[in-house]
Amino acid sequence: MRELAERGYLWCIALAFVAFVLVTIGLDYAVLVTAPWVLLALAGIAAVLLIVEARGVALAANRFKWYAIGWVVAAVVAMGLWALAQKDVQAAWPALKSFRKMWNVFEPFALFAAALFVLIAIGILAIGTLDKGMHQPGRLERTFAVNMSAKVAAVPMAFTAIGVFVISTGWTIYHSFTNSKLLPKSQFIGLDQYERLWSTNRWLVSIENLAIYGICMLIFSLVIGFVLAALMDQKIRFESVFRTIFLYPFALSFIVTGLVWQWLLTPEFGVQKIVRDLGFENFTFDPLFNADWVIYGILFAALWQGTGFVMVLMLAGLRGIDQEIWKAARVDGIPMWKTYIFIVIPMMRPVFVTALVIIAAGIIKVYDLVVAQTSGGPGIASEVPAKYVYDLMFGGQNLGQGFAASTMMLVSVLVVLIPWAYLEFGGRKRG
Amino acid sequence: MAIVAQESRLSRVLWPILAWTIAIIFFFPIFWLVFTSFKTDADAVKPEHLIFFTPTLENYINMTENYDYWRFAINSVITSVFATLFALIVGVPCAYAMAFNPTRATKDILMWMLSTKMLPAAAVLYPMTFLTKNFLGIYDTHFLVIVVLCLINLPIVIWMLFTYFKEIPKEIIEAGKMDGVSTWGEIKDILIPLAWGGVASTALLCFIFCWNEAYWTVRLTTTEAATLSKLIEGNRAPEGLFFGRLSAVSAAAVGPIVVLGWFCQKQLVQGLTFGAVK
Repeated sequence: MRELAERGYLWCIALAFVAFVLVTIGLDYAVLVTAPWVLLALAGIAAVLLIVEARGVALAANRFKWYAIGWVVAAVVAMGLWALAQKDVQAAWPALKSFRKMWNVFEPFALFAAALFVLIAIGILAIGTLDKGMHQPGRLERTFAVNMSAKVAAVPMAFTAIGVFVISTGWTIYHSFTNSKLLPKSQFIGLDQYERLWSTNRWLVSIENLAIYGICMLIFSLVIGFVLAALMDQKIRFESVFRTIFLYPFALSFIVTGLVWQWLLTPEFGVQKIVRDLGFENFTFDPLFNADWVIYGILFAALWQGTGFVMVLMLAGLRGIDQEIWKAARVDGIPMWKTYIFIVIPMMRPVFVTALVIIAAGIIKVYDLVVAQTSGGPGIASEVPAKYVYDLMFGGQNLGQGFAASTMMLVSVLVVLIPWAYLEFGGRKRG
Repeated sequence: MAIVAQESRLSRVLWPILAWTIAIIFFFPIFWLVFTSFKTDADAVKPEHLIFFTPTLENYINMTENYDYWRFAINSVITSVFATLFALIVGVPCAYAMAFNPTRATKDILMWMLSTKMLPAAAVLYPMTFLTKNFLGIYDTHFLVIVVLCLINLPIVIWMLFTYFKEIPKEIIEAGKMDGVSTWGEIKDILIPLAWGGVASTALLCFIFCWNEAYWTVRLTTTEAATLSKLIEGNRAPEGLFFGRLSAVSAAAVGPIVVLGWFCQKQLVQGLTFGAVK
């Protein structure tokens, strides 16, 4: 029950925030000014109801009085910040005008914060009042007030993550059903954008490329990373030098990686030229200019960039494994490769999850690399979804298509991600 | 440090050779990049000048004089440092709360945070541009770049910190509580010193990600808050043009982070060993 209430608590705050931002984005700008007042009014009504419910228990005896007063003070400070952005105040105090831009940024947040703080204060008072009659802290109090600081500390993250990602994503999904061209509009045209999207060849190529890139990237970087780590684990000399060299590419941004590998893979003066100069006249290696191979050229650059980090992760994992296991395996006469595959790898499961998460996060956003290396060419052979979306939104002035494409990306990620994530993180401990 | 390595003489010779070969393959592109940056644009595309050429600083001088390298570099430093700092300020309490006051919802929340990292940024990019440009008026400011960089890296930061904090025995924290240490005191005086390696490697990783971010920074800035990614992006030319110049820009853009990485990589490896992976 406690967990449920706790989750409810987080969700309520999140929902209030959602409502507020939705109002801000979705409706007219003028509403922004009134919305917090609506929230405040609601909070007031809630407070009155709660007081009535508590049958007039004296608030003065409330255990949480000081907490509540603290929140009210915070609300007043926030309102003060809000006041600084008002024209009348600025007229009375001209020095403020030079920071007008800053006040304008703070204005909506300050109002919202004020409303929220007042709500929290009222909530705390109400909890204290309701739980007062009990001998020990009641359920409400345990849920909301025990370890209050830790819970409040977790709230900013919930806020920002929901506010920025979920709201913006919702906005995108909403507008993917409209005929937005140059500017977002609200005229619904149903699923037309999606139909057009799936009949566009460029999109289909993008999807295929991402699938190839993603699968190969996952498999190869895990395998190569593990093999390199196993290699490094063999009491090799100059280990730290190797480690540094392998890690170096990871410090390079994707754009720089893309540029370097674009040069290296250019036939006229890259790898092909060097090998031909060594005497192999017929050697051909031009993946970036061959529509069938171009995605592997990009994959190669990505592997070069990311494998080092995977290796370091794996190496750390290998170091964490008990030396006794190696001895035991040797005594039992198990060959080394078998020990690795059947004993060591299962023990390193958390490492693999870590690596997987970081690699997967990189795969979906592959964009810089493609732009720097091939600009999607030759033709459209190396397009990826992120680039498709980007081009349509900012280059092609076809927002609706871009929104539809990004919604499709979202959906496909969710379809893959959610079941896996629940199996990995959610399932076992729920009991 | 597998004991098995002592098994055969062959492997003692073979492993180093293999390792050196791979290391050379890994290092060659960087070597190429740095080399090219000291060539003139004309020399850069001539294969006969691959190794033998007259080095010139022309590209670097050109870069600092004509492209305002320092402004971009300072922007990069400001945004990355502050984004990392803010990510830690938000991330440490959050990871602390989840690691030491876990509930059954903790795993769900953690998973949900991580899933935001997986969601395509493309779906959020346009609304963000639209919102910051038309409503908030913070487009192309350091503030915006810092906030965005901080947000996109927060999930990874929190998650890594969580795995490190989880390693620390709960009893230590509870002992602190018994002695009447406040929550903030617990974090500052007990938790962070204990998990210092983990916090440092998380910060380093976050810094690298911030520094290298291009998808967001290129789109959300024009001049005022433009970072080094934007400088490279602006100097990018179709194949075969201005290689020397572009190499210099690239080398100068990744230089600071490479130097930082050189000093911190031991810390990073130790930090990783300490937490995430056990």
